[in-house]
Amino acid sequence: MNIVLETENLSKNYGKIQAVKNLNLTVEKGNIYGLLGPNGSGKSTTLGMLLRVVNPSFGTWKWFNSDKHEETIKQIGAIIESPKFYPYLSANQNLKLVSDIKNTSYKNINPVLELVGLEKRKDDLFKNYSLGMKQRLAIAAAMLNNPKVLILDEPTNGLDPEGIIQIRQIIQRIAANGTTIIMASHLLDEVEKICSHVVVLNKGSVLYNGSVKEIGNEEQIIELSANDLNKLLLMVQKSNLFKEVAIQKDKLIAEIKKEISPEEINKYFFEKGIILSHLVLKKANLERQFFHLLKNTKNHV
Amino acid sequence: MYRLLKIEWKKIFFHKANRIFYTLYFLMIIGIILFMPYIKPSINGENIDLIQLGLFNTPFIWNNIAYIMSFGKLLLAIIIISNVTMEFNHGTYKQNIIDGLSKKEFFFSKWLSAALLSLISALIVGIMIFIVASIYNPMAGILVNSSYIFALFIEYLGFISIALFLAFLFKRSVFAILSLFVWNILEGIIQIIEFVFRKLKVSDNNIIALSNYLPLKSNGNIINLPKFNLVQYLTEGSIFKETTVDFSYVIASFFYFIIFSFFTYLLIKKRNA
Repeated sequence: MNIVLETENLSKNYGKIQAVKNLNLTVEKGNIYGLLGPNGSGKSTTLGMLLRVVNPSFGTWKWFNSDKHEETIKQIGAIIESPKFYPYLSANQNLKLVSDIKNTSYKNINPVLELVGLEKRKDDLFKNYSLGMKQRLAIAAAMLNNPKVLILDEPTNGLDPEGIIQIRQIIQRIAANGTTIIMASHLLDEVEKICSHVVVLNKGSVLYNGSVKEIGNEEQIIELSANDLNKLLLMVQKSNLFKEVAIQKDKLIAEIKKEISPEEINKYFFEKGIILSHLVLKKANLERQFFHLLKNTKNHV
Repeated sequence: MYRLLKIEWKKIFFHKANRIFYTLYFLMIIGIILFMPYIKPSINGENIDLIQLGLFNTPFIWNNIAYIMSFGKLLLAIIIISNVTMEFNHGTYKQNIIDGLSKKEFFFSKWLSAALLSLISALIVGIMIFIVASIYNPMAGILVNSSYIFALFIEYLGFISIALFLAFLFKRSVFAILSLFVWNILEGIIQIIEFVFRKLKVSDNNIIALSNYLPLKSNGNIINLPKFNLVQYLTEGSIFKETTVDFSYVIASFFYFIIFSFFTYLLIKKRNA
């Protein structure tokens, strides 16, 4: 059985507001899932329900094909929001406490501290840690029972570039060992760099669930530039080769309607009397796809 | 249960300030009893020797000391409120749940440690009274009225169950402690209302005030101020009158202990962490 998580019509209402609407989600083993969505799209509520800190209004979920949540939770490591520890205890003492909660041996403490590079600072009080160290300690705590699934909620939020790189390296190291990772984020760039799969949420519903590669395959983007940008824009708008044209600084960015090679595009404009100074054909990135998805749902509504 | 207590132990005793505070608390219980013979309040310029008045005489000693020690429930309540609200301040309640502690287990870890603290406090008071009583009195009949220690334990237990409920309800220590005072005032108002509308209209003196059985009132009524009798002092040399524990208040307080423990559990279970 390779299915790690399955939800059925999972819903949460806060008064009249539907934070999560009939969420049906399947997560497979051994992938890094990115849970994407704008603020207020229901990411944290969903994770909260899956970790049984938020009582769902409706629906069920199964971890590892079991609905005994008090048992399955012991096979999951999770951090939601910012790292939470007892500030007056040292890292080592905090991890001992978490070990007691998870009912695992203290023997795992040193290996996880090494994993996140905190073995030399383990006797320092938590309150004296920097944010990056706190976040790494949180990952260490989540890894204590060698979980099958690691859940992270915006793990690089508020970190400096060095901290972000460290966290990403740790995540990739953990994923390399076969641990399934579910990571909520609103940083598209981050999801694109780390994740193999992506789930896009908006207003409590799933818009997309699939691999990161496939989400970009659906459309091709072209970047064009010429001396007379306005004339170029007119030409592009008139032609039936492109759709959704936009000016970005000194470039035009357009979506291609059908398969066409760069030579043909170049020839087309040359024949119309425009010499292109810039021509790049590429797959649409996640950012573009993401906004596309959001826009489409708005049109439906 | 052992696991839950181990977790609580680490939360409390790995903290240096907590270690000092708890040590001082227990030393204080012992200290108050030990230093009582040296307290000689002066009234109208005359020093009153409480020992000569029979403060430490059996069987009055159990009521006398238990009454003084019953004020310790306020300290206990503050300890428990700060222990619970700190979990909300640090956000560790939620993280504990995520790490695999069930809401039920979290409730029981706090409930157990609070009950244990009440039990240890009452036991220390009991042992100290026994030691002091055996110094000042013949051994025969020394345990008469020692049921006051059981009553003290129930008083602590009943009071901390209310404190535990308020701590989980408000999640902030200031609100929890303040609400305890407001609650007390409200019960006082209810008592006045009952007095005005029931007692003044009915001339029967034996009528039982129902407001005496409100949560905080019944708790405070378990161990009453020892009764004095000046005439008895002049004739027999002992000022205190013998009293026994009123078990109707013990039962009422225990009932509230069950109710508030259950409410607290329900509150945790129903609310999002």
